[in-house]
Amino acid sequence: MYAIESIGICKYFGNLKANDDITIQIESGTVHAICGENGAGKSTLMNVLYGLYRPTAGSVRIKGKDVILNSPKDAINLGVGMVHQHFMLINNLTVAENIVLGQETGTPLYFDRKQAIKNVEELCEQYNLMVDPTAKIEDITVGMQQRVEILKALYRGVDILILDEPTAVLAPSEITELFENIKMLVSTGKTVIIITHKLDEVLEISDKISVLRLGKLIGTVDTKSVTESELTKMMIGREVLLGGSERLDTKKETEVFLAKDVKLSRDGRKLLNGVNITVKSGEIVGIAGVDGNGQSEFIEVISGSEKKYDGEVIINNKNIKSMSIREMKENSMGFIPEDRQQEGLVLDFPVNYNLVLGKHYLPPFAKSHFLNFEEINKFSEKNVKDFDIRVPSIDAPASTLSGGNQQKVILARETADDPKFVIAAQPTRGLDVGAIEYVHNFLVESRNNNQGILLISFELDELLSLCDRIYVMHKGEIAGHQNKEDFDLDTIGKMMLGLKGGLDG
Amino acid sequence: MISIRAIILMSISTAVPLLFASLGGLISEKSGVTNIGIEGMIIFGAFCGMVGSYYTGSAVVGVILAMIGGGLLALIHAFIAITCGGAQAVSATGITLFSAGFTSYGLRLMFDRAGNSDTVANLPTTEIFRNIPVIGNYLANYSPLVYLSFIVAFGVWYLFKYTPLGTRIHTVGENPKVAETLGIDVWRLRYICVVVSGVLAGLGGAYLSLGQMNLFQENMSAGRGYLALAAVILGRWKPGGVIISCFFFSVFDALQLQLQVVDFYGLSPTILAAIPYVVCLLVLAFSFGKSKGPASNGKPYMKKNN
Repeated sequence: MYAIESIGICKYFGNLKANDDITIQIESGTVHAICGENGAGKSTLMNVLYGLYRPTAGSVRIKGKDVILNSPKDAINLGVGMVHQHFMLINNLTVAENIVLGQETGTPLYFDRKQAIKNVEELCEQYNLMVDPTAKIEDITVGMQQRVEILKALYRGVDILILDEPTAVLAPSEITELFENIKMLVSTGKTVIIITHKLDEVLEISDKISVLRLGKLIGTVDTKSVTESELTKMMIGREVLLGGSERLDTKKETEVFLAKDVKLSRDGRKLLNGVNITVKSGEIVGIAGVDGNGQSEFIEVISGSEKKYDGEVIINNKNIKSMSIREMKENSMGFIPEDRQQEGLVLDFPVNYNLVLGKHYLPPFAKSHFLNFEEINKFSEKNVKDFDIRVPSIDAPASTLSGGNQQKVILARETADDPKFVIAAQPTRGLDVGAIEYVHNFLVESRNNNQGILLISFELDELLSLCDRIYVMHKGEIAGHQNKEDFDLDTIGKMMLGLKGGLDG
Repeated sequence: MISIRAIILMSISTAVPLLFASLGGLISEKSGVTNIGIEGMIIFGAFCGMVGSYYTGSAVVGVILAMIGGGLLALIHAFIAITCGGAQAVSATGITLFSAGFTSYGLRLMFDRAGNSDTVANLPTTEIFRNIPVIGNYLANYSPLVYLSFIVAFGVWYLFKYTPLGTRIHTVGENPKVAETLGIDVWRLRYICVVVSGVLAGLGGAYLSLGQMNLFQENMSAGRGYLALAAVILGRWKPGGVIISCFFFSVFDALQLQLQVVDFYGLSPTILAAIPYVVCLLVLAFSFGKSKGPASNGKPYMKKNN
C-alpha cells in the first residue's frame, strides 16, 4: 500500500527542468528519504506533493487515488502535511494559537484559547511530543519550534508528513531527539518523507532512499543495502574526493600576509590578545579553533572592517591600518567572507552585478563613470562557464541561486585577477558535498598557482587535508602551530580546548 | 481663564475623527497594507456627507454616503496595493491628492464658490441620554457619532483580542505565506480590512462635516489622517494603545482650541493649531525605535503563478 505516489512528475520553470519525469512510490508507515544536492529538485518535488506548485506534467496519487492539488489546503485535507525548512510560524503568537490557526476553537465571535491549549496538551500527550502551549514562538528554541510545526500538521489529522531539511537548523542533541520522534510517529502508522543532503542522517533514519540529481530520479534503494559512498556516487554522479586536487611543490618565498601582535578589545573584553600569523605565497595556512575564540574578530581586522586594533597587519608589504577596503582590494587581496548572503553578495542584485561588485568602478566594467554592460556581461558569461555556476541566466537575482552556486559567484569575483593573498573564511559552510569538493579543489589550485591563502574553518578535517600549516586559536591567542608533516589530530584538538599540548610542533 | 472642564469636554469630541481614522488605519496595517490615504478618505467622507445631507435633507443619508465614499476610495487603494502589488505609499498619496482636489472642485461646482459649502442638516444631539442625572446634559450634547466611535473602538479591541478573525488578520499581516498554507485567503482578508479602514475614515469625515459642524470646508481634515496614523504607531499597533494615543492627541487639540478662545498671549490661531502636530512629532521622535509593526506591513503578497 502506497501512501503517496509521484507519477511521472515534471515541473519546468521556463527553460529549467526542476523535476523531469519523477516517479517515486512511498509506502505507508515508512520513513522515505529524498536525497540530492542543492538544486537537485527535492524541494520542488515536495512542493508539488504539497500543492504549492502545480506539476507541468504527471500526477500525484494519494492512498491509491489520483488527486489534483490546487493549494496546500487540498493537500492537508488529503492528509499530507509539510514542515518547511523555514518555519511557517507567527513569532508573536503562542504555540497553541499557531497550532490551531485556521481551525480556531470556539465560535466565530469568540476564539476559545483555553480549549485550544487543552487540545494541544492532549495532542502532545497522544504523540509524546512535549511543548508549552502558552509560550510564544519567539521565546522557544528552534528545536521546539520544529516540534510545534509537526504538531501543527498532526492537529490537522495529517498522516503523511514531509520534513524539508529538518536537521539543518538543529543542534546535534536536537537531531537525536527529532529522529526518536520520527521513529515514534512511524510506529503509530504515519508516513514520513524526509528531504536532506546529509547522508549519515539518511542512513540512520530512513527505510528507503530516493536520489535526485539535476531534476531527474537516479534511483530508489533500500537503506539497508546501500553504503554512504554508493549514495554519494548516486548523488554526484561520480566518486567524490575531498581535500583538493594534487598538490604541487610551490616556492614559499614571498610573505603575503603578516599579523604581528594583533590585539582587540571591545567593551572592556579582550577578544584578540596578541595574534601572530604569517602566510607565504604558495601555501594554505589554516586557523583552527572552536567557534567564538576570536576568529570572527580576527577576520574583521584583517579584512579591513575593524580598525580599532593594536599591532600590525601587513598584506603584500603594506600596512593596512590606514587603508580603505577598496585600497586593500586594489592591493591584490581577495576576501571570501563568513556569511556569504550578508557580506558576500547583494542578494537582490543579478548575478552579473554581483560578479563585478567592488571592481565595477574600474575599466573595463566602467567607462567614464558609466557601467559598460557589454564588458560586464562578457565577464559574467565567462565566469559562469568557467566556474560552472548554475543560473537560469546572468540576470537572475543572486537570491535564486543555491548556496554552492552563490559561493562560486564569490570565488569567481574575489579571485578574478589572481590576487596574491586570499582570506577564505569558512568557505564551505552549509554547502553540499559536491560544492565542497569544488571549493577544496579551487583552493588547492590557487595555492599551486602561488597564491597565499588564509583559511579559517571550524571543520578540522578540512583544515588537515588542505593546509600546509595550521595555527590554533584559543581565547584570542595562538595556542599552537603545526606544519603539515607533523599534523596530529590529538594535539591540535587539545590546543583547541586550551590544554597545553606542545607549542610549535 | 483656561477652563479644564471645557478642555475635557472638547477633547472627547476632537478624539472622534481620530478614533475612527486610526482604528481604520490599525485594521488596514494589521492586515499588512499601509494606508496613508486615510487623510484623503476623511476629506472625501466629509464632502460626501455634506452632499448627501444637502440633496436629501437627511444627515443620516449623508453619513451613509460618507461611509460609501470612504470605502470606494479604499477599494481603489486595495486594488492597487493588493491585486496589482503596487507601491502603497504612492497609491495612497495619489488618493489623498485626488480627494483634496476633487472636493474643492465639487464645492465650486455645487455652490459656485471656494471655502465652504452652504449649511446643511447636521446630526442631532443624543437626546436619549438627556434624563440621566448629573452627566445627562453633557452626554446628550454630543453627536451620536461620538458614541458610535466608542462602540467601534470597543469592537476593534474585541476583534483583535477575542475573535479568530482578529488572529487571522494578525497572521496575514505578520506572514501571509503562513496564512495561505493554513487555508486563509490572504487577498480577501486584506481587501476587507482596507475597505473597512476607508469606511471608518469616511465616518471620521462625516463627523467633521455633519457632527461637529453643519457644512463642508475645504481641507477640513487638516492632517487628522496623518495624526491618526501617528496614533497607530504610538499605540504600538495595539487597539488599547491606539485608543489611548488618540485621546492623548485630542487633549492637545482641545487645549489649542481653548487657547484660541482665550486669545493666549495674542498668538495667532494658526500657530496654536499646530500644537497637536508638534506634540506628535516630539512624541514620535522620542518613542521611535521601540515600536514594531506587523512584520509584513506594506509588503505586497503576490500569489504564486503556477
